[in-house]
Amino acid sequence: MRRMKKMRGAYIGEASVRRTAMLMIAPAMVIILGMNVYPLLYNVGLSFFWYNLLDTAKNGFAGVRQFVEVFTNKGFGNSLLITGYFAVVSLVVQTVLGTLIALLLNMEFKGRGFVRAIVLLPWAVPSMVNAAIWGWILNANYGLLNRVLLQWGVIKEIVVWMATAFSALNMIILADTWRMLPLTVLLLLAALQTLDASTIEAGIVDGANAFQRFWHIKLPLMKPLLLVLLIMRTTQTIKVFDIIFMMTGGGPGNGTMAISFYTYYAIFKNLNYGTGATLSVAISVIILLIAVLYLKVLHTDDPS
Amino acid sequence: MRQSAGRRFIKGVGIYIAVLLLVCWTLIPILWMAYSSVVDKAELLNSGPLALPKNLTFERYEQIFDSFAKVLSGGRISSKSEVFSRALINSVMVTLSTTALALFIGGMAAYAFARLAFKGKQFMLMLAMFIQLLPTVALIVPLYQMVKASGLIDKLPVLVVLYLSNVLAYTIWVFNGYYQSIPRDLESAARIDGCTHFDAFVRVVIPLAKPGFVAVGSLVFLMCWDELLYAMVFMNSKSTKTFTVAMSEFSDKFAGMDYPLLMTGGVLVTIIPMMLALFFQRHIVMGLTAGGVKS
Repeated sequence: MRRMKKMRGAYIGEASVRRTAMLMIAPAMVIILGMNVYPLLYNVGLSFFWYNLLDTAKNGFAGVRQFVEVFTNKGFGNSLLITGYFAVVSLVVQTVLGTLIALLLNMEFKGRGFVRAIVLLPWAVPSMVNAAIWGWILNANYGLLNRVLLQWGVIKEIVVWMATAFSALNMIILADTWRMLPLTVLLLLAALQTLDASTIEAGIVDGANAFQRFWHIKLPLMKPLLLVLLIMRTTQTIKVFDIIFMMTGGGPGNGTMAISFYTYYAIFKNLNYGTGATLSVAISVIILLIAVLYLKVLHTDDPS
Repeated sequence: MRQSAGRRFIKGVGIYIAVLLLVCWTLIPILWMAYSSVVDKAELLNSGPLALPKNLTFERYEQIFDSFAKVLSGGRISSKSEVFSRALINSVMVTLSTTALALFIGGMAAYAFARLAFKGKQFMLMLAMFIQLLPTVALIVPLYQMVKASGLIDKLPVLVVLYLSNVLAYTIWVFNGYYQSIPRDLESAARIDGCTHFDAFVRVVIPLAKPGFVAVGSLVFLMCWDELLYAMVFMNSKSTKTFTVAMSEFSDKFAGMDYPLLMTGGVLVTIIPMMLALFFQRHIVMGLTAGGVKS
C-alpha cells in the first residue's frame, strides 16, 4: 500500500516539485524582487525625469536630455578617470604582489603555518577601521609615517600626504591594497596548492628554471582563477566608498571623487535624485557588462 | 635541480628577508592601532621621535565599558563613547539577525535552485549573479524613497531587511555552487524513506553542508559588520547608529579625528572578525571561490 502511494507520488512529481521549489524560493524572491529588481527598474524610469529637490523649477519629463547632461558633465568624466586609475593601479599592484607573495608562501620555510595564518588578518579589519588606521598613520602632524621618516632622516620636514589630489588618491590605494591584498594572496595560494605536482615535476625534469616553470606551467593553469579574481576585484573597485568617505571626503578639489562617491554626493549633498538615478543606471550597465564577461569566462575556461 | 651550497644559502636568506617584510607590512598597522589604544593621549599627539611609551593607560577602554553599563541600564546617550557603545550593540544585533536569516532564506532558496526543476531557474540565477556585483549606492535612491515614504527611517529591523537584500543574491549564488559539489545519494535515500524535499533539506543537506554554512555565514557576517552607506542613510538617531557610522563621527580639534578613541574602538570591533578569519580561513577561501569557479 505504502509503496503504491510512493509510486503515485513519483508520477505526479512534476507539479508538486515545482510547488515545493516555489515555496522554498519565495522568501528570497520577495526580497530580491522588491528591494533589488524593483529599485533597478525604478531608477531606469526616474532617469528620464528631472528631479532635483533644491531646484524644483525644472522638475518634470526630461527624456534622454538628463543622460546627455549627466554624461557631458565634467564631474562625471573626472569620476570615471579616478575610478579607472584606482582600478588599474590597484589591480596591477595587487595581482603582481599577490602572485609573488602566493609563490613565496608556497615555498618551504620555518614558520610557514604562522605566516599563512596571519596573512589574512588585514582583510578582517573592517573597512572603516582600515581607513581610520591609515588616516592615523598618514596624519601629517602626529602620524607614524612622518615621525619614523623624520627620525631616520629620510625627510627634513613633515609631508602632508593628503595635500594633493594625486597623492591622496595613491594613499587611498595604499590603504585599500593593505586590506584587500590578502584575498588575492590566499585565492592564488589555494590555486597553487591544487596544481598537479606531476606536471610541475615534469617541468623540472625537462630542465626548466623556476621562472620558466612559473611562466609556462603554473601561470597558464592559474589563468581561469586569475580572470575570475580580476573581474571580482574590478567590481569591488567600482564599489569603493567607505575609505574615500573616511579619509578624504572626495577631496582635495574633487580629486578622489570615485564613481560611487560621486553618485552618493549627487544624491545626498546636491539632493538631485534625477542625476542620482541616471548615474545609478550608468553604474548598473557597467556592472551588467562585467557580469556578462564573467559568465563568458566561467563557461569557456574550465580550470580542470 | 642540483644547487651549490652557496646558492642555496643565498636563496634561503632571500626567502627569510621577503617573509620578514611581509610580516612587517601585515602586522605594523594592526600593532600601531593596538599601541595607540593604550598609550596616553598627550603622548600620542606628539610629533617628536618615536620612543617606548611612558604611560600606558586603559582609560579609553574603561570609558567605553562604563558607557556600555550606562547604555544597557537605559541611560541617556550623549557622549562619543556612549554613542559608540550603543552602536556596537546595534551592530551585533543587526549583523547576527541578518546572518541567521540570510543563511536560512538563502540556503533554502539555493537548494531549490541546485536540486529542483522549475521554469525560469537559469534566468533567476543569472539575475542573482548580476545583483551581487552591484554597488549598494546604485539602488539607494528608490530604497530611500520607499523607506522614507513608509515612515521606517530609524527602525533597526529595517536595516536588517536592507542588509538581507544586500547579501541574499550572493548567498544564493554561492550556495548553489556549493550544493552542486555535495553528492545526491543521501538525499535520494531520504526521499525514498518518505521525506519531503523540505525535510531532506533540513535533515540531510544542512548537516552535510556545514562547511558551506560556516563559509557563507562568515562572509555575510563580515559584509554586514562593515556596512556604512545604508546605516548612515537610514539610521539617523543616536540610539540607532551602527559602529561604522559612530566611528565616522569621532571628530577632534587636534588631529581632525579623535584618533586615540578611534583606535580603541577599532580594536574592539576588529576582534570578532579577526577570530572568524583565524578560525575559518579555509572555509572563507572556499566561500569566496565556490560559485565563482566551476569545480
